[in-house]
Amino acid sequence: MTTLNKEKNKDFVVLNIGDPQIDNELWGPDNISSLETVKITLGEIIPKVKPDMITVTGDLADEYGRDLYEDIISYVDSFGVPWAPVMGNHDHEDGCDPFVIAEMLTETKHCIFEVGDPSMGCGHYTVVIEEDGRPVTAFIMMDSHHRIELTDENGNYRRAVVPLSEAQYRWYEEQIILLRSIGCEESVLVNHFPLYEYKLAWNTAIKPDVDLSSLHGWDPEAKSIWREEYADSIGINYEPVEPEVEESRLFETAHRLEHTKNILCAHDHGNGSSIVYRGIRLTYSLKTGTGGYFMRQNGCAVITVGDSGVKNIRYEYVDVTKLRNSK
Amino acid sequence: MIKLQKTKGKDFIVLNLSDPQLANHEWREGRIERRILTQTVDTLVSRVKPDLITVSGDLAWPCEMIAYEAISDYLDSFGIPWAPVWGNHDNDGDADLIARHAEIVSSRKNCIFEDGPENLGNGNYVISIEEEGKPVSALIMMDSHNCTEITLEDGRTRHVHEELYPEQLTWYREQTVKLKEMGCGSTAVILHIPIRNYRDAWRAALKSGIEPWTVLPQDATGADIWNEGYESSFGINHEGIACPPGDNGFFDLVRELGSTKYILCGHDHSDNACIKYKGVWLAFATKTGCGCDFRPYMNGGTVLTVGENGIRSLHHEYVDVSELMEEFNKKNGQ
Repeated sequence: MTTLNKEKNKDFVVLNIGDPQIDNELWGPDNISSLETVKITLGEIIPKVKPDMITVTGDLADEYGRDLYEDIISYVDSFGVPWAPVMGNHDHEDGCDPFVIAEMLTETKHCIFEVGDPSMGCGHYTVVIEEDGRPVTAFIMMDSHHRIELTDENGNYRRAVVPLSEAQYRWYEEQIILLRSIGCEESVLVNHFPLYEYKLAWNTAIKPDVDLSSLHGWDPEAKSIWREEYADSIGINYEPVEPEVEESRLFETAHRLEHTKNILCAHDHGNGSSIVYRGIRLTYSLKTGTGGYFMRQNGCAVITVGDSGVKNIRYEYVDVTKLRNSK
Repeated sequence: MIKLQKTKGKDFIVLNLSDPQLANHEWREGRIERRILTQTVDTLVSRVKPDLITVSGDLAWPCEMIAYEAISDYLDSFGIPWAPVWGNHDNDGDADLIARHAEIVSSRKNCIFEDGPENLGNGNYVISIEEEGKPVSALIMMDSHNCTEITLEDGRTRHVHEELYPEQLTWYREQTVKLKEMGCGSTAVILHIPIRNYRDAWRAALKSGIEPWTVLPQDATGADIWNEGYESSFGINHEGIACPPGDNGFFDLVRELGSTKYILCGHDHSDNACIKYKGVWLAFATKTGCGCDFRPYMNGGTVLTVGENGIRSLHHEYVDVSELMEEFNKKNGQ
């Protein structure tokens, strides 16, 4: 376990970078690279948020190119803040070997990524936030793997996510036992693929027949899209919430153990909402930059940790039309 | 004023497409969103053989230049004049960005978009349809701007649609009078965001007790659905009407001048009701393709038929894309 120290009487701020997925496509009227869109976005957000830690919910680049990975890794490292990524499906697919990327990450100065048990995947580790030697919360980082093509009995191709293994569920439970043993009473679970419960949460929390198409997450009206019981939800989703993970075991495990209060996932670039569902806040990271594919929302999720754990999650938006070269 | 020629003895067909609005990545080769849009438009063009294609706004998402380039290339490929109005998404961004959106569109050979007077917004222009040197009809293309934030009396802010500018009303009057002097008394206004009166029309026309979402657009005809006096209405609205909070008198001006028989708007992707209200057709265009919010049963275009004495009719043309929907519904390639 890695330990980071929280100053007393001061919030510990975690900034999440969502699916930077940098690629070679150019964006906007100035033909800027997707890396540049990430830089413009973070250039605006980082000075405002002043994070104590940065998490990245996977998909550092769109496909394997050592230069793409080097660019994004050295850029995130340049803030001089400890940063903790998980692997996304793109870090496994399209020529990527997550263990090669892991090597690059572990050689990077401020990156606190750990490979963990390689038989479970790549990147299982826990970061504990302590105040005066007392743990206030912990980030449990997991690899949710990638997708494979399957053929069903009728000969149809279907894509499915490689399921989490028994070892991973056991590892997650062990982390919680360990955290409890050191007096840490809550945790944040971070992985790339949204859990199936993200769909249930969205369908339950959103008012029927609200028109989202001309709303931005930052519009005052965006606060009124939620049903009354879910009024503490934030953000907006532009894509159908149809998680590729179709089983509920991870959520049910978290629910049963009553330790994880927050889950942070990514993958759906158009989605950026945060909803408390059956006692656990399910948060989509906000897409950072335009890489891979892009649907209107750009910015970062910010998790504020107080002296008794996570006290707030919010989104920091940067208007896409501002992703311009400052000429 | 742009002039297009109508052949004598033959109707002039205007095909309106609405809110195609694909994102950069949705234009990639083989993407299902691109295929749904192009199959829809290809079908419409070969079915109705238009003399002019209009687009009632939202060509793409703001700042997504690949999408602006792609939709412009695609619409230009038919070799038919095409004329968009600006939607709220086309208008989303600083002046320089909006100008770049317009630059891409205007650079295409068959695009007849004009910026129009600067103080009116982006793209206020008139297309006159002439037969043997005399205008028989005209399309008055107007910019309905973007959303804006207003501060209420109690200090709270609200996100609302902008109204047409007073200067646009003056311009509309001038253009209409000019057309009348040239002998043209049958026009249509095309704009993106509906005016407030669409709500009044909808309330007046729909029979009480009818739940609109139980009615398919193709079936929404006759006295079972519509109140007395509104039986000619057709199409249906499956979402609320998003329009400016007030009425700045444009509709009254239209009625006073008497030339505009049809107002055609886009914006609400799940609305395509057309209602003749106080003598003027207030029509929602049928959405074209699956960009943004999409209901496959309401996919296609809207056709204005211009005869020798002006606009003869308006109707929707639906395109069935059900064979592509399975693939669309399956989450694709991220």
